[in-house]
Amino acid sequence: MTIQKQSAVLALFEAGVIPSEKMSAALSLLGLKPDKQGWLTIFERLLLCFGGCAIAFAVIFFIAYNWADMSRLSKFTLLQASIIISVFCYWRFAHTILIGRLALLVASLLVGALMAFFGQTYQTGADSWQLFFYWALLITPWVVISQFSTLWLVWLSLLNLSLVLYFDVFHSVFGLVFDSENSLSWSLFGLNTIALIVWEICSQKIVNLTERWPQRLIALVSGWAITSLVIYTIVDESENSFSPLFVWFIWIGLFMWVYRRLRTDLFMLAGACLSAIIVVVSMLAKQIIDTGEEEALLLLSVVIIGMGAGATYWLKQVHEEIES
Amino acid sequence: MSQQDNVWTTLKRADLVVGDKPEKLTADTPWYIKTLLAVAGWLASLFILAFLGLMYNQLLESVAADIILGSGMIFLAYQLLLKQHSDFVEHLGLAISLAGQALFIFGIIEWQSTTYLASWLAVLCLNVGLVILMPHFVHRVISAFFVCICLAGVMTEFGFYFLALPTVMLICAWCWLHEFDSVRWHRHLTAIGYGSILALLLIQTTQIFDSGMTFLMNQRVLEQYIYFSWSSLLAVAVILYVTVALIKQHQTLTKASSFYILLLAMIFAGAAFNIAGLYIAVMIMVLGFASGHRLLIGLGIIFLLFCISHYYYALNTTLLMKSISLFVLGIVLIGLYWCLPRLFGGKHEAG
Repeated sequence: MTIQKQSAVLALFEAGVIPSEKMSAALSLLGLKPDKQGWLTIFERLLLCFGGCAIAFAVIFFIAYNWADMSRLSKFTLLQASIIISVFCYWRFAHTILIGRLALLVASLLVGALMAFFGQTYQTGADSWQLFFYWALLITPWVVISQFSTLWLVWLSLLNLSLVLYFDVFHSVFGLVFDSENSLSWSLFGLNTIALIVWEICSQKIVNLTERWPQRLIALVSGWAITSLVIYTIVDESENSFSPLFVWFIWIGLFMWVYRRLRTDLFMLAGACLSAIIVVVSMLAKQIIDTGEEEALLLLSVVIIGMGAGATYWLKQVHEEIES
Repeated sequence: MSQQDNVWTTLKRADLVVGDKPEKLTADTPWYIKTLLAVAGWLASLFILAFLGLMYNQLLESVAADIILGSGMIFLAYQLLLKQHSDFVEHLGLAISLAGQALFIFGIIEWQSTTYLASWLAVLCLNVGLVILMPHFVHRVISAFFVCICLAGVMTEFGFYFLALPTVMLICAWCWLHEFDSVRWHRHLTAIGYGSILALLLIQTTQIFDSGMTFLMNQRVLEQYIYFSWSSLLAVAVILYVTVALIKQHQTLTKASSFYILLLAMIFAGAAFNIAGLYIAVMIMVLGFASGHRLLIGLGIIFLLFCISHYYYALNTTLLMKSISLFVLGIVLIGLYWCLPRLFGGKHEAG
């Protein structure tokens, strides 16, 4: 609604019906420009978020410095006390939603620092992926009770990171199945697609998850994973290209249908169009490079321009439909 | 009733519009559609360049041919974008312009292979001209990005690298603060605003890399610290300029409130003095809040995350000093949070 209002007022300004000297008043009237209370609210949130995160990162940087003059017991005490203080702040200020959520975010970040220091101190021999996986596991209850989109994304990022590090070590699932260089991309695609589906379903029931930006970020990772998978199999002839292409077709078809018909989201549609352009261009480019014809490069550029223009035209039509 | 009709009615009632409602208003295209356009144009321009490079390899070894052909392509793109019959022509124009610019710049670099300064200046002049003349928003953003990068390059060649970041910050801030001063230049200023933010991200990355590696190898710690401090001091000056400009926009503020706001800005600047990139992120977010541009707020957050991760790896100071800086900053910010209602009235919000 805010974005549509802003788009409308900008269109009126560019048409010359709002004088420059009245633009500030127009933005204030429409709620697009904050008044005194609005500024206070914004600065309170910024100060609290920045302050809380700065303290959390200060503790993490301090532990990472590994100061020899401080004993291990003191460092453990510092970390554990910081976590306890954060949880206490959550309990004490539970009525203030922002402070409570920030306190849980800080506590969640410090759990990771504690686990890293634990592994470093006792030389447990654990792989890196285990740190991030168990970190995500341990903070799950806090993530659930916080109903905080940012904390959910931090949790999901930890799982993604643990996957990347896992395949860095094993290159397959449990060392037994799906032994392929593409296993990581498949896993990232699977994890993030499931996360997107669950988030979209839950956002209809949980008020605090109705913002669109988290889903868009997750869709970016999911789309990047499947698109890079398809491109890799197109380029590398030794890989079986049928499965990724087949999955990509199903994914893009469902994606377009859901975000055009069920829950119109122009950002998602634009991302899907970009994925389609990249895949088609990759397939054509592979054929062209094999033929060795220079003129075909010009044809390829025309194809890209044509597809880009077609996608832009269609998206603008959808945008006008939403605006009206 | 559409959103445009609602907005028109609201503004008409408050007597903030003049004349009749325009019959047809073109809604601004969302930024992700413009990004799709930019990516497609860039990709197409790469294949155009590859085609030209393979087909006319002998011809393009000549500097004059590169510059003449590049200029011709830019002029052709200008004509296509001026008419803008369709989305296809728009994409074609962008792709041809980007390819033409790459040829032109390649020719200039080959011509001035011994001096970088002339290359930076030539590309700077080209892109300044393109920002002003090219009738296409995405093109202006890309050209504005290159203008800021070239400015940083020119300053580096003159030995004033510490001026690069504050100068681009000032350009960015000025454009967003004067966005609505003129209908004629509104689109130009917005494009320069976005282009300068992208340039800030790149320059900040380069500066962090440069301050970490070059200075440790070539300069003493004191000189390194002095360089870094000059850059931070000038960045503080830009932050204060933004603060004063925003105070002036809110004429209902009392003198006491204005003084407190300036004081708080200086306290923040002092606490965040050595944390590279934090000023820029805060400035972008505040400018976004001031004009209701959610994209700016998002860019500010991305910038902040980027800078925090680079701050960890920066080699200009130890992790212990960084830890102390962050802790002091955190305490100061939490303290300011508690002081705000006492200085300006009201209560902390519940959620």
